[in-house]
Amino acid sequence: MASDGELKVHSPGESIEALTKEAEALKAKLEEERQKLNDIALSTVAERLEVINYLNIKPRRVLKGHQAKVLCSDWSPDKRHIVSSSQDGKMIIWDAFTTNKEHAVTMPTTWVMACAYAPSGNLVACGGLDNKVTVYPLSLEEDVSTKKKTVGTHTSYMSCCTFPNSDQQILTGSGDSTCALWDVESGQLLQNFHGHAADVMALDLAPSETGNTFVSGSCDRMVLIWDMRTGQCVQSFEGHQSDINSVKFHPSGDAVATGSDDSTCRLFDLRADKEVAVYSKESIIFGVNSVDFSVSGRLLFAGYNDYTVNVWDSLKCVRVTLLYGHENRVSCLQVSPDGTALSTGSWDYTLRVNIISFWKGLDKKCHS
Amino acid sequence: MVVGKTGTANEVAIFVHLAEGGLSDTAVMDMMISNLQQQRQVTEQLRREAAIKRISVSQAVLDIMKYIHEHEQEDCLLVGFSSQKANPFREKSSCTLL
Repeated sequence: MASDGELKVHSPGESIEALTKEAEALKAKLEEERQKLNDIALSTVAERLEVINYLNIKPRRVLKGHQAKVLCSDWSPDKRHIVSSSQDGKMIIWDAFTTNKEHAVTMPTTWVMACAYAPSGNLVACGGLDNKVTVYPLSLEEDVSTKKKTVGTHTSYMSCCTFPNSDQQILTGSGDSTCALWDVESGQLLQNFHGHAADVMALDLAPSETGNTFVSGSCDRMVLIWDMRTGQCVQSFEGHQSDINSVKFHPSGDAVATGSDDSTCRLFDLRADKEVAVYSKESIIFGVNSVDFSVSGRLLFAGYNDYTVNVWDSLKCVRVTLLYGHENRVSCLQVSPDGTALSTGSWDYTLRVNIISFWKGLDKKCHS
Repeated sequence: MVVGKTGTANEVAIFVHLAEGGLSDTAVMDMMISNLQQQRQVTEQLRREAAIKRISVSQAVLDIMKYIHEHEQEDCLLVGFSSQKANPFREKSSCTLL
């Protein structure tokens, strides 16, 4: 190995000096290019739009059953069930219509930091401090833990997971600063994603059907865009001043929103290759744990450490409203697949399902 | 990380420093190689990113606004429900009409 490397060390143009010089030149060029195309602010373009002046979103269901902090939740594709995971080591499958618990699974670990529904709705994955991602086929006939299967193992905690496109693969993010793609059936590692310099806290898939792109956010304050097939990082965004806890693709697929411990949310546009919006207020000084868009992308929901959910107008970059109710940090939130409801999970041990209870948001009606 | 401004001279200095620190020649060489590989990865990443085609922020923003405009009517958390029936979380009425 040393002899191979020696050759490389002495090959022309491959000295650290030359590489560093080139990197500095490239960085300067990148910054210049981005600034050249930075011709207007998002909020300026959005000035002509109507103001969202009245948005009455209220909790309609409270899901009680966890005995410790709720850390993660995910809607089933059936738009009715929710899986949640908690510090108490439990994963619960809820019927959000009736608030009934359909399954409660005890994991061999506390701090189950991540859980996700598979696209079929017949399988869930979860994990956390056990460093593992474990799948549970859901069936009403028997105890779901009898058919559990460990798919992948990281060298540190698993912080986030999702099924890209099918039940056959799982994408995970970890405190070991990598993301990984696993084959569910064989448990084989299909692709490894190296690039972050600290714990990966969140990931999200691009919304297209061919979806080979995903985004990750990390405690290194970076947002990275990845090609799932090659394992290569194709784009990176900086801007946040502290840990990034949440990342979410805009439904258009052209931008990603982030939430950070620096108490801001931001919007990064992939095609302009830069940050295009910061959602912050002087009065907001607490960290953001989770973000999600409404189905059109106009509203950005963000859960904060001060127990609130702020609802941002993603275009005008102003806060539309605040949702109160939780009695501790809001740790996770997610808009249901059909966009009718917003689930929120909290360190107060509960989840809530919120819907709009006034029909004149933009003085138009929903016809779907 | 070893990112010296004076390049080769710096590398030699580090080599000597590490060797004096009691590391074997091979170990020192391995460290230098891994530093080089790290820097190579950083530079290659920047080359890829520099090759990306970009559009102006105004164009990007217009496209996002267009998408939102086209989907606003499906956005129940934004515009509300067309009727109580469209709300899957409505309270079911206690009696049904036969």
